[in-house]
Amino acid sequence: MNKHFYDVSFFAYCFLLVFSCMSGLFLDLSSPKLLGIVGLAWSALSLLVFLWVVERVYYFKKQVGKTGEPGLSHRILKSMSQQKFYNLGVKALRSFNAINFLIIICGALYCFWMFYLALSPPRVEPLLKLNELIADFFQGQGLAEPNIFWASPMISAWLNATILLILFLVFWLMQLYVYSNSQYWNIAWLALSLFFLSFFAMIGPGNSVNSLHIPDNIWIGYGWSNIDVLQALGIIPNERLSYFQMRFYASGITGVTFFYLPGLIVMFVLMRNMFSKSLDRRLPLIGLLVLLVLLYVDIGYNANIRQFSLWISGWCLLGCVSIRERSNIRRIYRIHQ
Amino acid sequence: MKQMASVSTFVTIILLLLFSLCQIFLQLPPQKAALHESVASRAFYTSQNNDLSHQERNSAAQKAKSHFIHALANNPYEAGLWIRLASVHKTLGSENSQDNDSLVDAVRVARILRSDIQPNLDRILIQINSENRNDITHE
Repeated sequence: MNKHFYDVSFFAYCFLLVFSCMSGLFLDLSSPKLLGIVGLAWSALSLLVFLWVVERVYYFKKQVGKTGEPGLSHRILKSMSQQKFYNLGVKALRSFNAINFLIIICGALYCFWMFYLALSPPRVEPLLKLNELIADFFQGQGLAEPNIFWASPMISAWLNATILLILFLVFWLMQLYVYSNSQYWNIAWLALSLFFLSFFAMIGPGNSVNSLHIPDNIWIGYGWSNIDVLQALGIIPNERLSYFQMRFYASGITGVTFFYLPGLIVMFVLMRNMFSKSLDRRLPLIGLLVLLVLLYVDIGYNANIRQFSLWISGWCLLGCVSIRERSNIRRIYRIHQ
Repeated sequence: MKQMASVSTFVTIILLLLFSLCQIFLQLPPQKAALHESVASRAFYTSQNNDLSHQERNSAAQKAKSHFIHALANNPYEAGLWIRLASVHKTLGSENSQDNDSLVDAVRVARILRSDIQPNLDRILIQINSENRNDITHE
């Protein structure tokens, strides 16, 4: 099973990438069920690949233990370098690194912030009045107040968190394949094509936002409740907003800072790689351009769930170009020790 | 650091798995609202059918009203639902003052949520108020 699993998972990754981008472009991913199916597919693939890597490592440790030597014997190293799937697993270990850990922490901070805001809805006068009016109606009908007052922002936060988790796993899996497989360029070209396709599907005069204003004094935000309602109430300007602007209103300056930190970390990694002698300098440059495009669409274009395909192909590309050098097994073993 | 990174990646995978499964198998309030809305819309169109008897139309309108209220309980910020609920109320044409108050509330919520059709909703409010006033003078 191990011999074939890696290749199958490589093709499954390509298939899922295309499937996610196409469903982002042509289907309505704001539907929880559809997003759930995409999320389930990515989490299942990630879990299987994760278990495969862990199994390889335990097999490796068991072999070393059998020798009874503190270090790795020459015999084991030699047999290790001859086993293709063994190598792949050990190389793939490099995808568990400090940078990815930091990205997870920043993503988790943003998710916690979103859920905190969802649990404490905004105390805005017009919204409170509207809620009272709705409560009066339900009392008049002899019914309990609708529970949507907390459910709606919670569901929005939940869907947003799912998207972030999918993006991280796409990024991590791509790094895993780049470290362990020399054929990773196939996925990189595929991701690049999908990125261009999504970008050209997104841009256009009809999709750009009316103005680039951002609120300067919202530190906490109104939560991911219905932005339409807040616009109808005049709390938020009633015009087309970009995700960047929506994030300012929904999660405040604090949330926006948490949200853009992973992108900032990747940017620093790319800048560091630009000065590395052992790496092709074009790769970090491509990564910086991808980051710029993602930011440009985030700021200048109307908030639309179709941007999911751009995010997913973009983060796949970032996973590919943000790696450090691909080194041999002996060095990886030393790092691992 | 490698161990921390691998544990956090594993936690991320499990979280996504749980979130996705919940999204697929749990029925969330907006989905419940959509289900009630579809039943209510069918009942509402039946209530508009002139070929049916008055009683059948009335019962269809009552059914539509009940489903619209359930849909609103799951999605109270949907202006379209409030507008359609108000029209069902009008179709039923109740003389009960409590029902008229509910109708006024429904139109007011719709008026707040849909500022673009405020004049039409204002006209309905004026009409309801004048009807209420006539009822009071008759009493």
